Amino acid sequence: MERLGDRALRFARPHAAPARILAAVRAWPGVCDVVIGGHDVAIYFAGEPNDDYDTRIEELAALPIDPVAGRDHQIRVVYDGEDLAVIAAAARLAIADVIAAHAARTYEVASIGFLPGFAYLDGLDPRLELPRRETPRTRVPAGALAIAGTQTAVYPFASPGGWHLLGRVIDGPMFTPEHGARLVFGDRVRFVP
Amino acid sequence: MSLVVVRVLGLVTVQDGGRPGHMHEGLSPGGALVRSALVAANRAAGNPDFAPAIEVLGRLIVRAEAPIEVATDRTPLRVLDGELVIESEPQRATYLAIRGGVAAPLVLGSASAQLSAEIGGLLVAGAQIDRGHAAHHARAPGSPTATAASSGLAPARGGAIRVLPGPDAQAFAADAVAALVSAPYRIAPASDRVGTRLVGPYIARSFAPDRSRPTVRGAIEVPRDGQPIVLGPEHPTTGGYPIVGTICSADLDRFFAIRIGGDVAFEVGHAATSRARS
Repeated sequence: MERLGDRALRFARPHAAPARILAAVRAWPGVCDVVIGGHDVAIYFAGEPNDDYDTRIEELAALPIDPVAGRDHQIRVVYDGEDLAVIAAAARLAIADVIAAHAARTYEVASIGFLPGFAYLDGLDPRLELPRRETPRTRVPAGALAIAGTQTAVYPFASPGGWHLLGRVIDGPMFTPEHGARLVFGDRVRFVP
Repeated sequence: MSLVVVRVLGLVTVQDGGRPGHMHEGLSPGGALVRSALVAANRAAGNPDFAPAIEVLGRLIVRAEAPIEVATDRTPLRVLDGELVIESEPQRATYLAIRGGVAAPLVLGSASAQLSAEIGGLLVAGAQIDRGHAAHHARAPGSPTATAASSGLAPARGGAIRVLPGPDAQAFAADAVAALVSAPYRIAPASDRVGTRLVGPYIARSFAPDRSRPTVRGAIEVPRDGQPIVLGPEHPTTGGYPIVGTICSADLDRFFAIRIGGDVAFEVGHAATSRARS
């Protein structure tokens, strides 16, 4: 466990399903916010953290690893991203095969962060793995469907971004103030061309 | 009763205490950049401490359509009839409170504009600012200076801004924290509510790869160019740049109050004493 300033603690992410970690940690005394990153969890406090969080964190290791059943999403997309050709060349595939490979998979929410509703999705076809762009774009449009490393994601809002653009979502926003994030921990996603 | 925006220079939004509790969805808490100043303006106006008010990062000119009671964190309650010029200088932020609060829709429990999530927006010329509901008339107006000093949130301490080193020490050269406290940094014009960019002593990173990790308001991130960025209220909830240190929560308001172009000196603080030493 490490201090992230005097109002937050950071610790290595336990192996348990993220939805279980989130539910457990939010019930701890004094915790007002939680971020589950790819490798770490951070918990946030309104005041000084004053409890035996070491013991509580150790106890998270006992949580079940099997996923919590969330919702199944089918998200409508158009595969017309600017980086399709680059991705195809790197994967040594035809563009049509890149699209087929991406659309064939069912993805799971691995972590949420960066922007409101930005879900890092595991399950990418290993042939499509590609490091982030050398130089990030200064602006990626809202709804852009992208890949980087072993993951895929949708940019919920326009922002700078270093992921490779495959296409765009055409059936609605990824975050609304009324309903929060479209994808949450436990959810599974398919992209439908 | 309402105000009309005549002219805006800079970043002007409605802000209150923000909306904690949604970071797991990627939404940072947001809210006022300088919380003690928001509280001072509201206390001067006789409002609850975190009632919605107008945050001015720059310059704002408003006109009262009809006489209306307003206060700022620097000026006591008065009846405005005509135009008012509000300037954040010589600090980075100032707050305009209306007695009764500023009317703004509550989204996830807060009236704060959060541009990164397209909640609310910038106030622009022609916009109308309405007074909030009478439920806010709970207390007697005070004087802004006295109320700020008694709020417990006020920047009561001078001197360097205290930083708790870490947690990403392994991503930096051994002298990184020493470099951070070696000489003052200047607040760069590219700063906004997401991040405050600093120009000053170079902070050397080791060859640790960038990896997205949870962030916090006040975290001092260091990109590859070695020039730090301090995360503000609308920060991304995870970030790829390593964190060399985090500003003590008791010193956050003092840091965010420093005007663009102003200088900031850091010193190493200690978690156990960061509250007591004010």
